[in-house]
Amino acid sequence: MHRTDEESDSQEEELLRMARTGDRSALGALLQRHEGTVYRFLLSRTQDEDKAGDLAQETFVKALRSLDSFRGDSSFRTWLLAIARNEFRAGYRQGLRRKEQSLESVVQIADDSRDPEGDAIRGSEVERVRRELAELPEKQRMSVALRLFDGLSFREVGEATGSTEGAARVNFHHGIRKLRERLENGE
Amino acid sequence: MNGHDGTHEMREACGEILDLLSVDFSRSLSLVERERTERHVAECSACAEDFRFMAMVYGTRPQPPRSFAMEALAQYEAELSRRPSGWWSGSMAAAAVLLLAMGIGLASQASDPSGDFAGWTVAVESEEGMEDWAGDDWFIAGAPYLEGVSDETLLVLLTEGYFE
Ligand SMILES: [Zn+2]
Repeated sequence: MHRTDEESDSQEEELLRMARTGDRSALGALLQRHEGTVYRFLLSRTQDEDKAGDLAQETFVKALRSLDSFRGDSSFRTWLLAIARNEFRAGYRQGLRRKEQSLESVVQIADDSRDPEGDAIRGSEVERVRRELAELPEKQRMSVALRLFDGLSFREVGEATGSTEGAARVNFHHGIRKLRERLENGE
Repeated sequence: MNGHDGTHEMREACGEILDLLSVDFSRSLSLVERERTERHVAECSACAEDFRFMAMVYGTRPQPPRSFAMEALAQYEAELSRRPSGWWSGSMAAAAVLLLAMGIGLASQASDPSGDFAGWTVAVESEEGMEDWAGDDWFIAGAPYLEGVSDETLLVLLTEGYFE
């Protein structure tokens, strides 16, 4: 397929081989290759930096514990994202009740934060893009993030978001178009 | 090959180019694909605009605030170091079973059943790695030094309160 993907794949195979012998630096390098992708996937899913960080760490611990069970049927990245998806589901179930209880107070806090200083920060370009991205429907938001930020194939995006490859592509294109409309037309 | 067809062909190509452009930032394009997109973008202002927009969005890509991978690795290594080692689960486990057997013998003869046996239990529990097994359900979890002890013996130990 892609020349650069092939190079990257063979590097990854070598890292995996060394990681399985317990080579610490190979284990670290292998996980760090996908650290950003796993974190951004969870951030896009939870929309919460702290939760995304906790779940990312738990994802990597689970991966380390079950590295022997990785058979290479999918890419290592796809395998990690599947673990991350499970971690999110487990964490979501745990936090669901608490979240429902605190929803009113969260809305209250959001209203209280409409101060001039806060508006200045939100007014910056990066914050504006992130805010509009966060406003997209979940599957569009995640498809844009996984495709644009981390270069996942539409098949991988589909697997990570629970969609087909075709739906992932459509979600990406709709998401990008909507994001552009919102950012160019202002509030 | 009239203008309409040409426009349609161009739109098809633009969709494909947009797909390719969207992974250009993460360096997933081959040289051939890169040359193809560059040629297209040089002549198609719509795709050039899309590319600029996606580059701007890519620039807002969030980064992990710290290395969760390395923190996970440290956590995992700490877990491994707390697990019973091969040395413990081998010869020491056999020795512990022997000590337990001796403890049963001593306890059954002693007027106070908590005497010597309690001492042996403390010695065993102070071994490194035992905290993994010494929770509320440590007996049920199958502590390594109980391997080889018959179910009948375990039942006697349990009913007589040696694990309390
Ligand atoms: Zn075009």
